[in-house]
Amino acid sequence: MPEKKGLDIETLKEIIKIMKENDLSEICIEQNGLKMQVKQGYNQPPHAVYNVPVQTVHEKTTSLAEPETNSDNSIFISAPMVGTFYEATKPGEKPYVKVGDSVTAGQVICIIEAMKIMNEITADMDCDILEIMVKNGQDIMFDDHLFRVRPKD
Amino acid sequence: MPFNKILVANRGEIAVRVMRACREMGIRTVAVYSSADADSMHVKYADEAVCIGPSDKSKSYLSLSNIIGAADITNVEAIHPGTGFLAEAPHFAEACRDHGITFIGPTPENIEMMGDKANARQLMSKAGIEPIPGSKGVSRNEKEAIKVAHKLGYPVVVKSAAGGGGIGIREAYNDAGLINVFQLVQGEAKAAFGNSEVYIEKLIERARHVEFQILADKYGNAVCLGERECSIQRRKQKLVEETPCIAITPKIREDMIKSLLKAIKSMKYINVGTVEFLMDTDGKFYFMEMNTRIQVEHTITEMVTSLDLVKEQIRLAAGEKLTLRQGDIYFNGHAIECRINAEDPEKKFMPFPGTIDNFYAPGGPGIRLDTHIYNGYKIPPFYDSLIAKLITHGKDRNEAIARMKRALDEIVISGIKTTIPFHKKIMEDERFLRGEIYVNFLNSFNVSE
Repeated sequence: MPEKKGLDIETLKEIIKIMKENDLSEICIEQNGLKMQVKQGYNQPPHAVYNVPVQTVHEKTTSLAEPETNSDNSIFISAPMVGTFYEATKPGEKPYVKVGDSVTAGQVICIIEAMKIMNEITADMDCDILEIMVKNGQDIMFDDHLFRVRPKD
Repeated sequence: MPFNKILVANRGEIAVRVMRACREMGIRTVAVYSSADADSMHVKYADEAVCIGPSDKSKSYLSLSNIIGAADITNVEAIHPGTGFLAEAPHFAEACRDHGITFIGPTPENIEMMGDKANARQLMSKAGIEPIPGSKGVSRNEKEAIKVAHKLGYPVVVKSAAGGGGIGIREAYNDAGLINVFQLVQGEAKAAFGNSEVYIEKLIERARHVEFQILADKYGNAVCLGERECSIQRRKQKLVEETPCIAITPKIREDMIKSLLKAIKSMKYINVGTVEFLMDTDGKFYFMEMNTRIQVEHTITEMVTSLDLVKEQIRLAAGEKLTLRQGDIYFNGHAIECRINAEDPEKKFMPFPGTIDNFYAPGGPGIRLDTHIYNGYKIPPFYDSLIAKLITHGKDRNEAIARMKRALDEIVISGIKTTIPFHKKIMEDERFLRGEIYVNFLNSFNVSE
């Protein structure tokens, strides 16, 4: 960090760049008596937080069995949790993905809302979206098929 | 009807038990299940079912967010936690409250108050119920533990403060032993409960484990539904329970009920609870711990009182006033329960999951079987091994025993190994028949002859 009193726009830009590159939702910095907290994210409804996982839920962290491969070499991305499926950050917003899209590993593909927390669900491999198996606002349970995808080799 | 729909946050026989009460009351039920339990009876029995996670219970039956998520999407008004899992987790009861869902059980504060076993001892002591002589609160290190042990006199027991279900309890007979088990219990406690705090108690030799069932509403009314004798235990896990305890006279019972009700009311405890004691050979009771949930063995209390404890829980949770008064409670006859586990008694009770290829339930007068198993059911290896509770009721202890022997002969569960042969031996044991039952009963019990 450059040694300067107060906050300059270059530092702030640097911080935001670091956050985006590392997919951080929040940074808190204390230096030379200056404390700064930068958060990025969409508008969340108020929520209570208990011992729940962090908001970005990766497919890999849930101990799912090997995804079943269908006859056309497509596989299903299944729900890692219970809640309500949303295709976009808010109603009226552009959906995260549509049929035919190519997604990369780590890309957010949908949201599952549970206990008033919007959990971003990410793809854990590069793949093409072949089919969206659920409707926007549908209640889903663990292991429900969300997307049919074809992984990229 | 107190609620329209209840979610049962549990599995196995207790989930079926709770759903049966709901069905009788016209309340719709929601089952939650891990992917390993998709074919389980409680899923078939419920009106709706939600898969809440993989077989790993920490990601399913212990997943607060997935359970509350399931409650959200099914629009239930209440959750019954069953026994074990999150039943005694104050943060779960609190999460229900925060989400506008009624938790069918005591308040989060009640649960927390009694969940810290070391703290519970002090609270009960203040309320006039004497605890087992022991450390005041937790013992922070071996040095403190030894000091307490010398004051009490060996032998002593080291127990996990956050414990329950018989886990995190070991005996010590001298300083060297104490230092050893102190660390062992800390380790076990940390692993099982995430909290390594321990406390010390005097080991009461030739003790009976006697517990009393409480029901209370939120208006200051409470009743005691008598006691259960649960001394036949293996590694602190109860195997056979009966009521009444034949070592208790009506006068002893009456005095204990009086003291207990006074204590419960003073602590503003609501819904169900069981206060556990050790009773020494002089008939003196020492408070051990209080369980803030419905218990596995609630069944035998139901047989002798003709009450349905789960229905009472549901009504109380809905804010109804306790219609029972202590003077209305009568104890009729004698009841015994044998917990049947999918374990091999000849191989140190090693768990024996597998597929049940033949199941025949016993019947006739005075027989009750609470189970989730069925012909062709595959027992998953991930959860506890209790597969059935066989309960008998008779006009006296002899008849209850005769009926249990008959039922154990009639029942068929094949394809797996169970503890049925073991229970048959207990029902023939001279000491059991004489009622000479103490918590070390199984130490001198020959399992395979």
